[in-house]
Amino acid sequence: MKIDFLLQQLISGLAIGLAYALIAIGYSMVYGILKFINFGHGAVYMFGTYVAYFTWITLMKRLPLWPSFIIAMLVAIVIAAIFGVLMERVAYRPTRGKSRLMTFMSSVGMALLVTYGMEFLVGPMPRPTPALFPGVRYNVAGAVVTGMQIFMFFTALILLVLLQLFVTKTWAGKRIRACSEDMGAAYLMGINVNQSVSITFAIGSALAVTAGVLIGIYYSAVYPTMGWFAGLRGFICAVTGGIGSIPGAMLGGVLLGLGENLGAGLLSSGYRDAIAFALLILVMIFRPTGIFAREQKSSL
Amino acid sequence: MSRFLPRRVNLLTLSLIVALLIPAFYRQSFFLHILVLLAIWVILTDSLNFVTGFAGQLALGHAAFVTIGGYTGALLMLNHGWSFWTALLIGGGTAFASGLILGVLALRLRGDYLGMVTLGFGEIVRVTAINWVSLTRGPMGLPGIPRPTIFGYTFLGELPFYYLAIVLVVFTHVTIERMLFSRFGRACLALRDDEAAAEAMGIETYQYKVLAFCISSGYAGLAGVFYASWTTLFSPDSFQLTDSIMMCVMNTLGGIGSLIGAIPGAMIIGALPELLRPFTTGPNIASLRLAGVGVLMVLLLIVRPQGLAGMSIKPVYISLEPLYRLLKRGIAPKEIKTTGGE
Repeated sequence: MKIDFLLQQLISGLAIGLAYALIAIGYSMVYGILKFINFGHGAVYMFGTYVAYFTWITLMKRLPLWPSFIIAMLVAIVIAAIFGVLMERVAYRPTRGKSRLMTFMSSVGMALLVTYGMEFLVGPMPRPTPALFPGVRYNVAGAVVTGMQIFMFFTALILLVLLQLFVTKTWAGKRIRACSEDMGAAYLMGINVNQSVSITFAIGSALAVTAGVLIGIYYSAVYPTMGWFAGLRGFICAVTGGIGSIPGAMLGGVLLGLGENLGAGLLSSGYRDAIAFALLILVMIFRPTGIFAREQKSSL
Repeated sequence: MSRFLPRRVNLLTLSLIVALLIPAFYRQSFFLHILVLLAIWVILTDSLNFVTGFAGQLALGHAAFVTIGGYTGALLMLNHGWSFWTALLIGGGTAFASGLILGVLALRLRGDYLGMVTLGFGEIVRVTAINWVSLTRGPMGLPGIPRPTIFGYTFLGELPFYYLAIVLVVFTHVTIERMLFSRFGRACLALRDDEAAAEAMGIETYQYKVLAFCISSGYAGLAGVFYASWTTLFSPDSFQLTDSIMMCVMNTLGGIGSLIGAIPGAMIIGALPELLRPFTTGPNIASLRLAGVGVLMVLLLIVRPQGLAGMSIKPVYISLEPLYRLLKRGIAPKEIKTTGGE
């Protein structure tokens, strides 16, 4: 009984945790380059998920489940990536070079605009999503694993590995790393800084949308304020794992997913949000550079 | 005659006089209701401005302190029969104490990280208020909170609450202004402008930051108790994340670090839903308002990041000379000509 319960929470935690890690990447990479917390990231996540949802629902009338899902996903990823880049152009770039706090506040403004603009358009009620794996569930040592959990886990894992390869092995990735090390020096070396920033925003937004669609299907609900807490969770993962590091974001995501599920199982599911924030406060106070950070360089 | 008249008047005094006179001309209860709400926003913006504007520490969780103060006050009045005035003090005090706990823990961080941690604290408080059903009745909230009484007179209707709100606004403003020009206030301003330099001058920056944070939370708690008693209902949703952000936007619009900015900032954004009302119907108004606030915030930060009133802490005076000239011209136009010729 006790072991079953733990195993069950472990499985749910791993699946949802990696999805959180996908959101965390957006915070982590943007913080790495521009040194500010992109509060609007959660709004992009929500926006893209809605794009995917509406495309999917429309296509479902003509096409079978999976092709329409994949097309909707690709459409949403492209649109959200463009949206993320535009957001940076419109709201963040004009405040760059002034105080970083200005850019942060500007992103808070963007989050309000996108979230509540969407709520104004589609209404606040949650919409149920179609199921990707209706009725697929396996029994593993007394715990239940759903097909969606497996799909979520592997999609997120593959994307994270691809991203790590992109950042470490390609020229574009190298340019991004150069910018996050020293933007001024990178500029002097002839790197197109603005282009790197745009690529960062595009990647972050695309991954966030993937996470949004996965989580939306997992909980079978899409609603306008879903970005607030998903975004905050992503941020918590990024901070927990050490901001700026991709494996860190992954570990942070798994840790948060596990902590949340265990905590919610042991206490009460109502406290789920509080657990995430308690983790944030604890990490910020005791290890502000992240639990898994090797060197204690204060980036704050 | 003009020798005995003041040549200029403080803008704040002028607005106070206007505020006191408004009900004499216009006392529809709907209108007064909005004014009381605006007054609460002014108090909250002033309190946030104290920590963000003067001490330079971004706080995005002030709704938590309003909630803590509101619940403390409401529970004391409901379950223990305390009077409004003591509940007001204790509510403010509890918010102050919670500000101390969070401040001691969080104020080692700076900038947007501090903002995120305070925001997280706000959510923890809201989730606790929702789930601690035995104390707070959960999402249903606490209804039937008693209204204040003073010398046997009970505050009923909007008008007495309007005057009480003005008293609270004046109290908040005057005490904040006095603190600002004290040794403590100067230390806050110094650490905001340059923390390293302030530290080098012997200012205990961390302690001052914590103190500023607590005081600011205390005011938010007062506003919470007042709100609870005014609406007679307090629930976890009365003040939440969006309200914390709203305070931040009001503060930015008014001018972060301005002494008078809270008033125009809070009034303009607080009145926004009423201004938007003709353009939309029904429940959409809340989302439209928040989206509008978002646009405003982004535009403001790009176009005028210092806000309407800038960062000035000097009192603003309005010259009364044009008024006197106008009056004189009305009474004796010849005099104007002679003085003008000299």
